[in-house]
Amino acid sequence: MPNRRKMTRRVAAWAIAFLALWPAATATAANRGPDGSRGATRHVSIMGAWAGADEKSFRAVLDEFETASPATTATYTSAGDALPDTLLKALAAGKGPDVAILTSPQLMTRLAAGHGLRPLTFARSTVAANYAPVWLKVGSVRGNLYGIVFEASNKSTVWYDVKAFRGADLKSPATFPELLRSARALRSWGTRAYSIAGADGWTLADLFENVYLRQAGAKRYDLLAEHKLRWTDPSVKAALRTTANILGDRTNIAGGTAGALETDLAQAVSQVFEVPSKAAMVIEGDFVAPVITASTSAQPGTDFDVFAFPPIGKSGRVVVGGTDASIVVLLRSTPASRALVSFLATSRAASVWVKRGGFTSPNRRVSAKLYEDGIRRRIATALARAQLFRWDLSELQPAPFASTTGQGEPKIFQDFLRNPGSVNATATALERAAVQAYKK
Amino acid sequence: MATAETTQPALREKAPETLAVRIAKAPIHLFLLFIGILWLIPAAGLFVTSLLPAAAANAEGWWHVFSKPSELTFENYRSIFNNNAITHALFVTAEVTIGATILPILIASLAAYALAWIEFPGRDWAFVTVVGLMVVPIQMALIPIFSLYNTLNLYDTVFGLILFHTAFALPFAIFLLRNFFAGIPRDLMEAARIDGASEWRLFFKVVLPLGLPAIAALAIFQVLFVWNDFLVGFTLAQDNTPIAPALAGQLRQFGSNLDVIAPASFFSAVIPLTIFAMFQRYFVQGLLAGSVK
Repeated sequence: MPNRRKMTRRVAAWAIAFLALWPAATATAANRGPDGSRGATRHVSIMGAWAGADEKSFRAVLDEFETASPATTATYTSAGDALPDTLLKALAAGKGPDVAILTSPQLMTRLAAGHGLRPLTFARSTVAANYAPVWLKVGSVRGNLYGIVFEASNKSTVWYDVKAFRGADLKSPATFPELLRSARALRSWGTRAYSIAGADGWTLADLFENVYLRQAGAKRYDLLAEHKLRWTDPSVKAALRTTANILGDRTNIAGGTAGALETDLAQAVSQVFEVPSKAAMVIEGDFVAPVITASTSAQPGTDFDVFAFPPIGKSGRVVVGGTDASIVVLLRSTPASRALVSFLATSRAASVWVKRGGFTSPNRRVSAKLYEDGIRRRIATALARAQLFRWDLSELQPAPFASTTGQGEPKIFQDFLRNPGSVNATATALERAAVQAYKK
Repeated sequence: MATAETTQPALREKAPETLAVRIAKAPIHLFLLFIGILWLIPAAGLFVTSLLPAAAANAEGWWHVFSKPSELTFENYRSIFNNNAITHALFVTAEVTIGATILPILIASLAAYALAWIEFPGRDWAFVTVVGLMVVPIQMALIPIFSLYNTLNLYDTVFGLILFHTAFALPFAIFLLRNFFAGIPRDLMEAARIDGASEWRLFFKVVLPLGLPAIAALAIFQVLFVWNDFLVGFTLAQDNTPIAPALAGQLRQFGSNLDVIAPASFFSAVIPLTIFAMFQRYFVQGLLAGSVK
């Protein structure tokens, strides 16, 4: 009995002590930022998706900013892949950051349309001085500059087996017909040219997008993205026919059509760069490089290398941009936040990260020498010198159509790989799926 | 449980098992050992990963550590304790968990006592309503509460998180405690009343000590639920998020920072486990002290 009483008293005492103390503790916690900062002369808050090593590198960029703008402090919060939800929630609560670094151009368009973003008129000249003209357009919504592309990924790349190219006495093809000729030369040399990741339907859609943007031009590409142009349009059919030059070259695809349909991207990459290799090229974006180094022992430069997806006709230097981008937008206009946005548009900011590695900047003033290897240098140069840049279509289209496995575009392009002669049927199927997806 | 059982005289006086019995029981013991190891593999994997340098953790599976044990380091733990975002999140989680465990227990035990032992009109209906509230899903309330918190300046405060968890814990807590309190012998309560005990005295001196096992169970449930909560913390906080949403903020599809995620996840899992292990023993002793004369 005395034990029980003692215990009850002890529990009650702890409860009372806690109830008395926690409002004070709560108040302290609420006043403290996640980085523990308190008051400074000028302050700018940033929210982005970078975490881990990327976060450390971005903090190094912010350190450089603080050196360049004395009496200004910058705090960064990582929201990871939950950035869109975290940011929209913070904005709804009126606690949005001053500057956000978006990963999706669609979110930028949505926020700009909802008047959540401040125009970057003050930074226009800095962007114009540091970036190719196309990047001003990429960051604009209805003629107003809202976003600066700080980091971009390049989906217009072809990864190849250096030894096979050397064996067949080939150089990086500079035009699309040259690419097709190189493929035939590789076949006669004794290796298949293409490794196609047909099990991942989106890789086929990426190939089509690269062809379509080059062949049909930006205007039609934009209209198609918004479904203001039908998928049965002659331009789509022409691009499908061009794509069929690769997908229909059955004897030149590792494993043939049936094998390709069972090959996912990781396998498609391995079968080019592992020994013995089954094919000489894989057509996909810059994210292939880490897959090669993680899954094979191939070395950059000696075993694997990259060339830009070649122009078609007079398309010039065209790049389709991947989804893993970083777009700087301004949510609250203060002297400190404007200073940071302008700073991030300069080559000084980008160079800090480029020197640390793992970063591709579209800023043309960043010295190519700073990149860690020739491969990243080539990818970055293609971005910085692009005459035409468009985001991946799947970024701009409704998800049920563009990026859901087993339906819409990925599924229809798999059917197209199965039967590359069915241009009209493919166009009709794409149009039917698009009508349904855009209706919702 | 095991610790509590060993304190019982019956177990202490048990005759030593013969070799034959041991051999007969061996298959079942081996099977249980196998199941136990199987259950522990993910946790062990997380722990080993948390001790690997970032490059090694990203390059190969954690099981490779057995061939290269020299790679193990506590550096990751040192750096997460120097990472303000993580330590702040752990601090917030501790505050929310303590507050959101004590507050519902205090309120629910008083309510449960009233519903079990004080006659008043509509008592059964009140209890049925409380039971009915148990079916309200948290997800349904998140958006309206988010708007309300915004208006009341409770968004992104520890107090706001405690209030939310308390509100949603109360129906189950009242239900559990009321049923437990109702099981206390009427004779005991009447004897205390005849001896002149007031309702408060009855509550503190009779009901609460006897109800400790149920309160302990409830506390353990609530600690685990609140500590591991992601959804409420993610929706109603921003700078003061608990550990689960803070860790989610470190996740990226194309990037890996296992050197932060693994130690922080392991540490955040170890704390409720330790509390569970410690308090379970304490409360089971309390239960035995109350029931055995």
